Amino acid sequence: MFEIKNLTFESKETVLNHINLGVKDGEIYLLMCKSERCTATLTNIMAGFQTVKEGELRVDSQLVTDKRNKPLVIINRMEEPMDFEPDLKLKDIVDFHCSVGGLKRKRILEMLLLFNLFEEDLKKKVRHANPVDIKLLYLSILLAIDYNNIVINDFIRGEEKEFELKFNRVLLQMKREGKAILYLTGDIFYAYRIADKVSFLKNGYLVPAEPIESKDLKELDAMAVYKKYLI
Amino acid sequence: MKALLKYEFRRVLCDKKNLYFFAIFLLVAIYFVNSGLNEFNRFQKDKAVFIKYEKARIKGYSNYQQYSGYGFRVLFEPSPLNIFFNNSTVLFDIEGNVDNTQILKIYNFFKGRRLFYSRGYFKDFSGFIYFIGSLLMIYMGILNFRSIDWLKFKLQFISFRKLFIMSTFIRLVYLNLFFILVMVIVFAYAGLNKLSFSGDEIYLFISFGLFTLLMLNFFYFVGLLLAILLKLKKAAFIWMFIFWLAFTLLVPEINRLYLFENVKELPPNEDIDSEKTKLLMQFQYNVMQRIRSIKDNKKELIELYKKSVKEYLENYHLHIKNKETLLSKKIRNTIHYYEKNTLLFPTMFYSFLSAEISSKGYYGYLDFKNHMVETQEAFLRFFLNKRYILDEKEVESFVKKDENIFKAIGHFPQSFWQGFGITFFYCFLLLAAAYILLKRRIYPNV
Repeated sequence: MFEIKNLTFESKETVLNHINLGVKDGEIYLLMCKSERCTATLTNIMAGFQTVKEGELRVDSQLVTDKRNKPLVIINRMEEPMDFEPDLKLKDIVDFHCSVGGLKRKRILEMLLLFNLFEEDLKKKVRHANPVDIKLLYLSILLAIDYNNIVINDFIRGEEKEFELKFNRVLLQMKREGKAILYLTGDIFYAYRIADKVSFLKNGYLVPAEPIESKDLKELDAMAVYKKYLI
Repeated sequence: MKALLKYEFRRVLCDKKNLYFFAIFLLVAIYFVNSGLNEFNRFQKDKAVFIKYEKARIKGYSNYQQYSGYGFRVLFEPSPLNIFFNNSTVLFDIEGNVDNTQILKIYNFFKGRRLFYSRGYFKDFSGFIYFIGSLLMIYMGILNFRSIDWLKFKLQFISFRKLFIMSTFIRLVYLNLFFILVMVIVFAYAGLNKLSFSGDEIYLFISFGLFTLLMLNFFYFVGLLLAILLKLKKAAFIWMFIFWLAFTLLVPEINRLYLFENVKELPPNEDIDSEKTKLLMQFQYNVMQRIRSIKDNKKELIELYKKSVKEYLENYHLHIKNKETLLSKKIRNTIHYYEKNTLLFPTMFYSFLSAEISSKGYYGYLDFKNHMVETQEAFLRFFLNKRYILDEKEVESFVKKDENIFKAIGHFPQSFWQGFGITFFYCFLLLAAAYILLKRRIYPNV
């Protein structure tokens, strides 16, 4: 469970005004914003790559004071995953993160299984592997981090339907495991498929004041919601 | 630490592409050393021909006047270390002529097959490691941090400082180990080919290796900084080539042009030679006047010769020698000035260092010039003694052992540690700039 309280940020391109939201354990909270820059900024703030003018973050009711090391898993969009380590085997990447990040290999392999990827598939080199598999590997590594709170920045944007289905399956599995998930996106239709709660960022303000529950959202017309909260 | 060591090992050394490159690099390095060895062996054969020819030439002289006029040649024999630098030197195959005209003759001639001996820059071990090694290092520096996304991903597992320092240095250690291995292999290869090096020469080669590694590390840090300045985008590769060409070719060349402008302050050889000739002519005129006054008295004539020889050696010759010493001093000052200038940039100092360690650099030239002046004086004394004091008729060779072979030695520049320190400082600056800029890019206002 984590909470953002009174978050205020201002830069040339992005403004966030007094954002307050809370994500409970076993919940997928979807925060919608039309601007990609806005979601990227919020992700960077959560990851500690940006500091805010005002506001605080509480994880499991504890105030997080360390600006750079926050007990959150940050899953950012990957523009060019092939560029990460073209000359390494997928297995090497797993080994490295197990050693450096203290991750459990078994946990990563379990996550990979959820994506229909097997240990055998890790023998390939990054440059010879399927780009989707590499994204899934990185996702599995991040999800293997033993934190209960996850922030995801539009990971499925522009991906094939098959990828989205695999991703959703894992996301629901995480939810079942009791993880608190904040998903940032600009896709209104994705909210209908996955979210428990939905809020919108409009001109730097969070609207409506209280998030819309998924059962209420399903009764609303997507176009009307889009027009009301995003334009 | 162990995980990062293993990880970087796989990134750098387990990639087939890199392995092929390293293997080819090593083979080409050996090829260039082999080429240097061939040149060394060719020189030894030419030297044997030279000695034989010079011996035969002496036998052809019928009197000391003839011997004094034509003199004999002195061959410049480079240090065995030259096999690593045979095309990165200031001097090529040079020799000098010792005679009693008092004009110092040092030259390199292009006749017959000698025309094809010089092959131009970089076609030797030191040139290859300078040119291709620096390109490899700047490229590896650029590739160290793959992208901002890559870094942000990694930072979930490891702190920024640890990631930066470990990733940068572990990669550097592997690359340095590779270059050390190349240097050890080529040195051992030269040894296996029956080329022996003295303790001083081994020390010089180690010093060269040490500076080479530092200069290559400088290029690695340039690549690292370039990549960060260009936001780890692919455009960095274009800039990589521009900077690499500027640093390896343009900067040393500008320094050479600067030197060229400076040497204009040195007096022309013709001025010195004509002054020397004037003194010699004046002496000869005075002696002729005295001879005419004596007429046919042989005893008096011999006495006059002896007196004139003494007078020449104590007066005229000292003036003539002084002119050459003065010129040497000016040349030494110019070289010293050039040496100081080369300290400003690692590639400039590398060019200077390579030439000096090879024994065919500027200080090698000065050694040879001084040797020529001394040999010329010894030959003059030998001639005057044989011809005018002892009045011997049969020509005896001045060269008894190997006086006509000048065995050059490599020089350890006085400014070596200064050059090393300055390059180290540059590396530190580049590394610090890369660290600060990357940190600012990832944590813009943290």
